[in-house]
Amino acid sequence: MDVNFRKIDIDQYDEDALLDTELYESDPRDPAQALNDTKQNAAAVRSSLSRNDYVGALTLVLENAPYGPNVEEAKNLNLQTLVSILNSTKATDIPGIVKALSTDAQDTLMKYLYKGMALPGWGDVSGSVLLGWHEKLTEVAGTGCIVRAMTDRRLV
Amino acid sequence: MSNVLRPYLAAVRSTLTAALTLEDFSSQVVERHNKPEVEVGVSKEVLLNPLTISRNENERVLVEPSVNSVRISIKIKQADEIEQILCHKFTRFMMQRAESFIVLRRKAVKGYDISFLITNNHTDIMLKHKIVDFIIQFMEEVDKEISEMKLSLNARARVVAESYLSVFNA
Repeated sequence: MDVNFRKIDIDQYDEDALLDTELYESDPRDPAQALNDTKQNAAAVRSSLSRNDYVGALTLVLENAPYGPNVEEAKNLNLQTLVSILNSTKATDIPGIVKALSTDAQDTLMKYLYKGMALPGWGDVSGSVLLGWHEKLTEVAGTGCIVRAMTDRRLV
Repeated sequence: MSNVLRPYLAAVRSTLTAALTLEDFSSQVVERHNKPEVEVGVSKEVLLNPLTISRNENERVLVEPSVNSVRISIKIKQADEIEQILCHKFTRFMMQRAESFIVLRRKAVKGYDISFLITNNHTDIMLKHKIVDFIIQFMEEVDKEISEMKLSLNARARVVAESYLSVFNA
């Protein structure tokens, strides 16, 4: 008989216990497919950038962004692609680009901005770029965008 | 670097304004108890995603919201050892007197220098935009205070060293 029965977390066996996965709809794609999609997006983004089509590039990255716990590689790749777009836009263009995005894309962009700022290393992303985008995005989308970034469990 | 300071503080202000929508929420684990959920951290559904705003590697603000409380942790810029010691002593001084600050937390979160805990009771008594103003003003002033202390420390050290070593010069 297990002597440590007092230390068992009894709540995990409760049938009404809330699991992390129940809090949101998980990404329907499996990891390999998500990674493929992200790679295709990255290639498409590079071609958009060469044509200076920033809105198109951003929309490609932000729609159908991979989220959830088991698609780490796809998420990182998407973040790198997004960072390359953010670095290459001029500061004066940002308000126009942000206004052209859909609300969902704006929310996803806000999530990515916070994720970028939370990264410990600062390889290719600079604080001023992210903060500048954050300021312009808040001006356009409002505080509600930040609230949605806080409450949305689909972590990019 | 004040050109990055302004959007940094603006980002912190807008994030705090978004996070400070708090309401009363009794504990789901213990009946008749009412605890700040961000400190308890047991019920997953009442905790929101923590957000980080950073200016560079050494200056960060972590905002951890929940349904009835928000924990804000600040990492102050410390360029060298003197500033590290000064910052440590300064924050320790304030954290020992956390009762009079009301919103200050007695221990900083690991990895940060100082933490604030704001609950729905605080937002009921005080004005939300004033609380945000306080935190922003605190962030601006703590940098100034530490550099002031460092300057006066260096000045005093120079005076002492001069008067002590002048004896050996004569």
